[in-house]
Amino acid sequence: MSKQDNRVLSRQFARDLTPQELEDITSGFFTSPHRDVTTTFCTLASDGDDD
Amino acid sequence: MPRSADDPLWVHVHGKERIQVKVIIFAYAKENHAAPVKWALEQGGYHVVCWGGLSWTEEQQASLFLGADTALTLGPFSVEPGDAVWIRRPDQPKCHPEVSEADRKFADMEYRSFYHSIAYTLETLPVWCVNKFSAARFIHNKAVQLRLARACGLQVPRTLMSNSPGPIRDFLSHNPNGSVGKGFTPHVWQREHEGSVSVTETFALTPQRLPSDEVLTYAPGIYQDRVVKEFDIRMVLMGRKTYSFALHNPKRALDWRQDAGLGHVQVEIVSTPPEIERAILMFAEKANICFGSVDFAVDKDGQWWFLEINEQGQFLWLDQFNPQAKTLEKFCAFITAPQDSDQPLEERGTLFPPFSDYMQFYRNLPENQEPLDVAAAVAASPFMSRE
Repeated sequence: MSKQDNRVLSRQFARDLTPQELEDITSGFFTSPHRDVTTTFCTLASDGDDD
Repeated sequence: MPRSADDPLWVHVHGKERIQVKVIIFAYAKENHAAPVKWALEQGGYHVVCWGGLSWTEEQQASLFLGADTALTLGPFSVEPGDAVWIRRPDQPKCHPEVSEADRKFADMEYRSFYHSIAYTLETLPVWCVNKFSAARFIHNKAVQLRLARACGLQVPRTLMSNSPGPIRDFLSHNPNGSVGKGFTPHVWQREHEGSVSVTETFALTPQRLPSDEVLTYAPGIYQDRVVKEFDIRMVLMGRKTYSFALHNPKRALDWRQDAGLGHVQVEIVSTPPEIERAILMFAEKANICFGSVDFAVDKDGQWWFLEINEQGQFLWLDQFNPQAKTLEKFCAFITAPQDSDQPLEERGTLFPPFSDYMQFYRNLPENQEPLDVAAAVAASPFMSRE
């Protein structure tokens, strides 16, 4: 089994963001001032913990 | 919510004493919705405090006294009758780093149990919770969401949640219009030494694209009929009001979230169809929530398909994309509205400044001039990994 073959399905179909896209996203309000990276990447639609 | 309709800033306790009510936000002060909302409420004359969640530090310690009266202290302030408590995004309960390794599991569990005691007890106090902790935990479940939505008359795509290869393959092979896959939780993987990341999103699936059976058991997943959509809807629920926004993505991607982060999505204010609003309000009643962000897909026939709800979903970005959305003003009006007030949120919202004013304020803060440390964020977040 190759290194990629043992990844979970969501990782196999995850969206790759280039360094430039990463920079563009993290320069926006919802990350830059508040250091809340996960929120911008993942959570315009759905996020939060399950606690 | 025993708040005076005459003066929402003040409330009578036991019929005599007058105290200023406050808004308590469960989130650290720089959280990206807590900060603008706190600022806007303060501009409107309200007293606002942030509590980052239960931890060992002095400002995050808590005490819950249960006697003839109940007293709850969160860091430096007390919870008082009439307060509004916005359970936004508190940190996970965190025990002292110096606790013995032999005691860490016990201490972690004690912190977690105490936090739950606080959060559930709030529901029994004369304060207003947005949302109630029990309701938030309940409706966080995606299966519960889909069942309730369907029961309330909303159209919901057929869905299979599974880690069992046979049913997954069977579901996909009996779906002529195609299927999508998605996870229960979001996640980000940062690649070592590359500076790029991979982010979970909804993806198209066919039986031919499925990996081996073993991989399907690595993590459970959500498999759903694909809605051939014209555009997406982000709806914000505030009490008995819904505000809907069409999200137009020129890339017509299955998942608009990262394109929104890149600024590619256009936000248009749209009316909520009456039958959809009725259904969502029924949904909110059954779920016992008063606030949330709801996602729909709209097909070529104009049918709204319920996808999911996040009871603490993001909404202020809508103001950034379309200043006429005014969700900051509406939310401030909503969380400070006197009980049973029938004043439209749009009208009370004029008490508060727009999001664009906050943007001007924060851009001048010296701490916002530093670049973001993505690696530090990855290390600190349970939703991010290295690979």
